[in-house]
Amino acid sequence: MNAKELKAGRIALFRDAAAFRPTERIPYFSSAVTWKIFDAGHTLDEAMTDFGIMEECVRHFLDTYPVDGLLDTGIRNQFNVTEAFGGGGYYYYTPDAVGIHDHAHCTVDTLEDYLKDPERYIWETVLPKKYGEAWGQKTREIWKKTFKEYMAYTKFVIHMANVTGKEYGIPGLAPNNPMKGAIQFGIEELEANLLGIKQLSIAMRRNADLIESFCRSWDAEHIDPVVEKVLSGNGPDRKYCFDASLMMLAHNITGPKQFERFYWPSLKKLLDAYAEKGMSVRIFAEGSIGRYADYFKDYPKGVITLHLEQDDPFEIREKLPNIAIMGGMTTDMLANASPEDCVAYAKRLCDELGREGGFIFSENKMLSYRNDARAENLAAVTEFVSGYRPERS
Amino acid sequence: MDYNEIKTAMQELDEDTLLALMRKVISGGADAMEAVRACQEGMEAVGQLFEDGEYFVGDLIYAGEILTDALEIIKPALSEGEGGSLGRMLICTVRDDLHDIGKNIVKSLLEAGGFEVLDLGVDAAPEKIVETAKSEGIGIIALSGVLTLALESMKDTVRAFCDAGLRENVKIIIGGAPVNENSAKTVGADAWASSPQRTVSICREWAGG
Repeated sequence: MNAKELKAGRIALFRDAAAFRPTERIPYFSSAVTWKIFDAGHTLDEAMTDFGIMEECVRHFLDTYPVDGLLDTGIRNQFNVTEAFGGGGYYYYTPDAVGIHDHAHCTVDTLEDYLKDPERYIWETVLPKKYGEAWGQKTREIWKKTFKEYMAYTKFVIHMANVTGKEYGIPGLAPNNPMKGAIQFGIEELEANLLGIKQLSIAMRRNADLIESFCRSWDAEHIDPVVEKVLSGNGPDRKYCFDASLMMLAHNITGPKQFERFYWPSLKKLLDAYAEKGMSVRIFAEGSIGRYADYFKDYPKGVITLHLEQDDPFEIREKLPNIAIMGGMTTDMLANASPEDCVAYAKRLCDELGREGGFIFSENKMLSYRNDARAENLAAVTEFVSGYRPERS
Repeated sequence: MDYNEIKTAMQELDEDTLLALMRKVISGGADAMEAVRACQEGMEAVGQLFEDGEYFVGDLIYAGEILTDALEIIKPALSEGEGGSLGRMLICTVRDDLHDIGKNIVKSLLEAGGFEVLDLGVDAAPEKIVETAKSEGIGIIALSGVLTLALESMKDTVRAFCDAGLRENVKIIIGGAPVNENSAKTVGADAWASSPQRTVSICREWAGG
């Protein structure tokens, strides 16, 4: 089978599994991110500033662990562009770790300024704050050098899509947002960038009307246009494993009433649009989503796949038999258990969650750091999942 | 003064009422320490409500914020040196991890639970933790982390206590997103906790409270 056929077969496998249609085997979507670098014998700082090394790491991973899908094709956490601009701002990396310093672009008092004119606010307030004195010292040469690196990075992104897709038959996870950037909900933007977890937690109580108004304004600008595009489009895009990929994190700090008020209206209108068009959405539910299970219970099979992190996948299956599950394999086991124990657990996942379809094997957390998995454990699990044929009832 | 009202306002996260009551304590010459105790009891109730699934992370953060504001109001009426009745303990986010929200929540509840908590902040190196525990004579150590990488740092910290010959002198509890029973064994900690309230209960047991 050539790479093109392999890719088409894998897309069908992911889509069938997500739709609870019978599949010959359980697909494996790997969440290996920067762990690939260590496994290939490099350090983070080497691979994150050198496209050649990063490509070598991705190839090493796919040669060693023949998974069906890959979250990161080596294009996350590349620092050439930010280095050219004179530093990463909030981001930092060392040979062993990459991370982001806590930051908030706004205060509750400046949220409306941001909403009025985001570009101006970012240019006049966020960037000077991010770069400090250095912001005023960005010369034309620095901007040109940064732009050149950005173009090189863009080429690398395309190159890696070709390497993984055309050589290894790895399909893309989901098409780009039909508007721009990633699909992001207002409450998520508030938590991740504009207010941060602490300010948002306090503001949801002290300034609830403002937070609600921000979320609805955000919807009008960022969510409603996506909904319109989805509804006026042709339905599923079978060049990808899913039709959309969403990230949820802010639900971890909200209570039920706050979720209902700030989050659900935005999420619901988007999910309803995808459901109406018979499209398939993957949601990476960081932390725990279990307490909101009821919100998802009425969607038909095939619309939502929840990629779980801290929830027990067996409990979620009980609560939501209509929702496909992605994940299950704990990094804790991959890091600390024996290959035999890892395979036994992988078998239980495939048997219990995959028997009726609706299961995509994956790690519960991104594999990021050196000790997030033992190579022999990942190899054993990959070999098992790719060869296993679960009993069908 | 009905100190129970303070406890209730804290427990119900009724900020306006709580702060008004604290101002009343100051203006009316009521017992400031009793007011602190009522806040602590209210905060403990908040922790329990989180444990019971009634409150969520955002509520705990908000609770910590209004507790700080409340205590700030009556600070002038408190005598110097009125620290935690259960003694001192140390808390930090371990090396290579910068997440501090969970740590700060646990710290608030530990303080409400009767401890004086020395906070080493984030990205705390094992040597610094050991050195501080030794120089300050602290016997209870709470290590926090969100990244899976933190488990390695926790392990290194436990090892550093062993290397310094101090492992028998301290009790170590770990907590945070990647922590579970297995990881606690791997790290070599004395205990682990999945919630702030559980951390308080375990530390209290250790302190004989």
